[in-house]
Order: sequence, then C-alpha cells, then structure tokens
Amino acid sequence: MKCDSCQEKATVFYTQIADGQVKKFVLCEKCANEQGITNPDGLLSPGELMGVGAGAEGDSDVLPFESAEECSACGFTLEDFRKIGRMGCARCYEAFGSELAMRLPSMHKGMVHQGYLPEGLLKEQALRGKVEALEKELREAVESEDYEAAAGLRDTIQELKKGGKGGGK
Amino acid sequence: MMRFSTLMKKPADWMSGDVHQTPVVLTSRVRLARNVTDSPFPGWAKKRERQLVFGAIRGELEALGVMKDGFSHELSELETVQKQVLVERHLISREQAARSEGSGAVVNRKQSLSVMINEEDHLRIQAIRPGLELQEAFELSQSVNRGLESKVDFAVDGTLGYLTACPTNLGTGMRASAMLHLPGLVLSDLINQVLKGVNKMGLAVRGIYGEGTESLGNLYQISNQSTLGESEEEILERLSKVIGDVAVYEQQAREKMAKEDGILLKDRVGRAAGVLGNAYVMTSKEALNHLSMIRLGATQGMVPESMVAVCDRLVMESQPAHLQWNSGKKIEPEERDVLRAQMIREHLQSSFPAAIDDIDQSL
Repeated sequence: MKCDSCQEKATVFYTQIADGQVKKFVLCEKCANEQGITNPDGLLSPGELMGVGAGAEGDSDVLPFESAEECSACGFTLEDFRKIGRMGCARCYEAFGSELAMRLPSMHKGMVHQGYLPEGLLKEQALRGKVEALEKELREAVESEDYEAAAGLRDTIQELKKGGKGGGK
Repeated sequence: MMRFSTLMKKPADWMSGDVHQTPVVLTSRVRLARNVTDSPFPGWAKKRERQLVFGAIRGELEALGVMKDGFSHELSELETVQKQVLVERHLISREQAARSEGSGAVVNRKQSLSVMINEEDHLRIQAIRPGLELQEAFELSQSVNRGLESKVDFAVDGTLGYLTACPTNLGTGMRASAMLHLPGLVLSDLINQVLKGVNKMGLAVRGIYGEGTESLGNLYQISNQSTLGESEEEILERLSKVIGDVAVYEQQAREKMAKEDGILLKDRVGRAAGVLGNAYVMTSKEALNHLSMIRLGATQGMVPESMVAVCDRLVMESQPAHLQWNSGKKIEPEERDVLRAQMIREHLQSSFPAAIDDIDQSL
C-alpha cells in the first residue's frame, strides 16, 4: 500500500471520526512525521490535515494508530480483512484491532462485551475494573498533590497486577 | 448413533403443532458462535487444520450427555439430497451444505439441538424450541457451551467477548430469532408498518421463503442484529418483547378480520382447502400460500385445530429435498409438483370433509 502524499510504502494508518463521518488515510513514516501524526500531542487539526481549512477540533476524536499489515499467527492480511470483512483467526483481532474499532460502531450497540464469560475471564475482568478505578484515584491524588495517598495507591495497583498475572488464565 | 432414516421418520420435538402454543410464533431459535483459540477460522484454515478441529470437537460433542445417541456426520459422508433435507429442517445452513470434508453436524435425538462444526465459525451451537421460548432456547444452547468450555479452549476476550470469523457476531456470538406466521397483518395491509417498527428497534426481519421482499406463506423471521455491547439477557428480553407485541397485533388483525370481513376470510380458507384437496400439480409457492390460509382458518375455528400441526408438517415435507428423499428416487422439478400435490391431497383427504363442514357451520 502506498502513502497518500508521496509514493513511499505506507506504514501509518490514520482514522478520523468527526460528526459521525469516518475518514481514513495512509501515510509513509516521513509524511506522517511531517504531519505530526506519530505524536498525538503535535497533531494538526483534522481540517488542516485534510486540506480543507481549520476544523472544529473539539468536535472530533482523532485516533492515530499503526496497524499490522499481516497477522503474525495465521498470515491473513489487512487487505484480506478489508476485502471480505472477516478475520483469519482469533489473533487477527489484535493485529487489526484499530481497523476493527472503526467498523464496530456501525455493527453493534456497544464496543465492550457485556454478556456471558467463562469463570476465569470473569475474575480477570473484575480485577481489571478494580485496577482502572484505582488508577483513576491515583491520577486524582497526583493532581491534588497528595503524594502520600498516591504512593499507597501505586503499591496497591502493583500488587493487584502481580496477583492477577499469577491467577489469571 | 442415530441414523439418517430415523431422523427423517421422527418429527423434531419443536414441530409439535400445538395450536395454543404456536398460533403466531412457530419456533424460537438461538445460535451461539464459538471458535477454538489455536486454529485459523474455517474459511481461512487449511483442510488438514479443519479436519483436526472437526475430529476434536466432534468427539467432545458426542461425549456430552445432552447430545447422547444423536445424529453425527461429516458432510462428506452424506448424499446431496440428505444435506438438503437437513437444510430444510433448519439443522444445518445452506452455506454449510456446500462444504464437505472437515465439516459436519451433531444433532441430538429430539432435534432440538444441532451443532454445526466448521461452518463460518468452528462451532455454531443451535437450539430450537416451539412457540415464543427464546430464553429456554438460549439456556439449551448454553448447556452445550458450558459442557464444552472446560474441555475446549474457546477464543474469548474480556473486552470483545467471543471472537468470531465475522465481526458482526462478536461479543455474545448470539443470534436469536423467531419464526412468525403473519397472515392477518399481510391481509389487512398492516405488515409493512409493523415490520418497519421492528426494524427501528434495531432488529432484522426477513421472509423465510421466497426471494427479496416477497414472503411466501406469510412466514417471517425476526432476529437481533447487534451482538456486542449488551448482555444475552438484554438482547433476549428486547427481542421477546417486540416479538410478543407483533404476535398481539397479528391476533388483533385476525379477530378484526373475522368480525368485520368474516365471509371474505371463510372464502379464502375454503378456496385454499378446495385447491389443496383437489389439485394434481402444485408449485411450492402455491402450496405455501394455501397452507398459510388453512393454518389461519384453524386458529380462527373455521377448520379443526389439529390442522395446524398438519399444515406445519406439510410446509416442511413439501420442500424439494424432503419430497425427493421420501419418494426414494431422483425426480425432475415438474415431477416434484405432481408429487407435492399428491402428498398434500393424501394428507388432507381424511381431515377435509370434516374441515369443510366446519367452514359451513361457521358461516
């Protein structure tokens, strides 16, 4: 696949979702760097990038990502997925995750599974929820400069993560 | 193991034809898509990989208590007509019938559970119940899922749920559907309005027989589209509610017709009975539409209630592969129409004099 701005091989895949419209383009690393895409903080506004003047930045979510060209487990390619809309194997979901994330909203009510899970995964999921909540508390503690609480939270999180690895599937 | 001929002789337990259980909703169906972690999905796997998965899963399935002494075959072991019969019985899909080695089906004795191996996904666990029993159908399919999950490593992710070949099945991997007979809504020209409403609820509607928007026999299927972002219970609850509502609208339409246009309704039922009982050449389209009228008449007390079961059985058995299998020889399409007419005449002869009396008396 070739870069949209020059003829080099594209390695950066960029998806922009604004006002419910999905726009995709592919760039080589050099052009991507020039556009500031590899560094999310340095992003140009979507409008500038698309060459249509300044856009309303507040209205859009920009998801810069790099996506694999091929699934390392089964050899199925991103092109294959785009062509037939199906995956080659379970691991393809990691390899083409960003491409998938873009398509999910038009297929499903939500992006996160809410249904039945086998017991092992349920525990893992509960643990992840706990860690996420603590991480939020940690950020708040740091912001309010409560470093003592932050240190305690950090230790708890580390412990939970360690325990989770041992006990998870 | 159950033989194909036994499966053919025994009607499935969901073909009960109990008019009180199935006046509008004939069947409820739930299917769960599951895949194993360590092999490519069937559409991308090599033949050898498919065969390995097939062998392993088939063994585990046959060992499950609920599937005991069931029907279990690799598709390559079956004749084309046998595969088509399984499709007509909704035990395997049309897509799967086209496959052969490394693909197969395990069906329990009651034919209420059927597991397709190596269709689009490694496993498609399907449960069928009579009437509106989606929750029961889900629990039945879930019993197979639970039985397998300790023995087979299913591909499942905490965030995306069950990983499927097509992302449209991600999450629960569950497609739940019901088959509805809606002649009242069709005859009162309310069908499009109702189906549009169902669509707006994020549910899919399609005709079961016929192509495009045409629905033969006034039979429709309503199913969920989204499989990710809601629990199985939420999906089933919404679906059951919408299907229940449609069934009520259908009953209201039937009652209104019987009250306001009674003579017209009797005319339709009587003509259908006349044609079915006396025709010698019958296309499947004609059969489906006339049988639909008899079924309607049976729920409105115009013909005996027992005719509901007869109609449902004839809809199933007047399909091409069933006709051919039961005739025991290869038949041409024109010959099929003759056989179909004959089979229907024979089935109806015993019930029809009484049926026509009933129509007279209800005038």
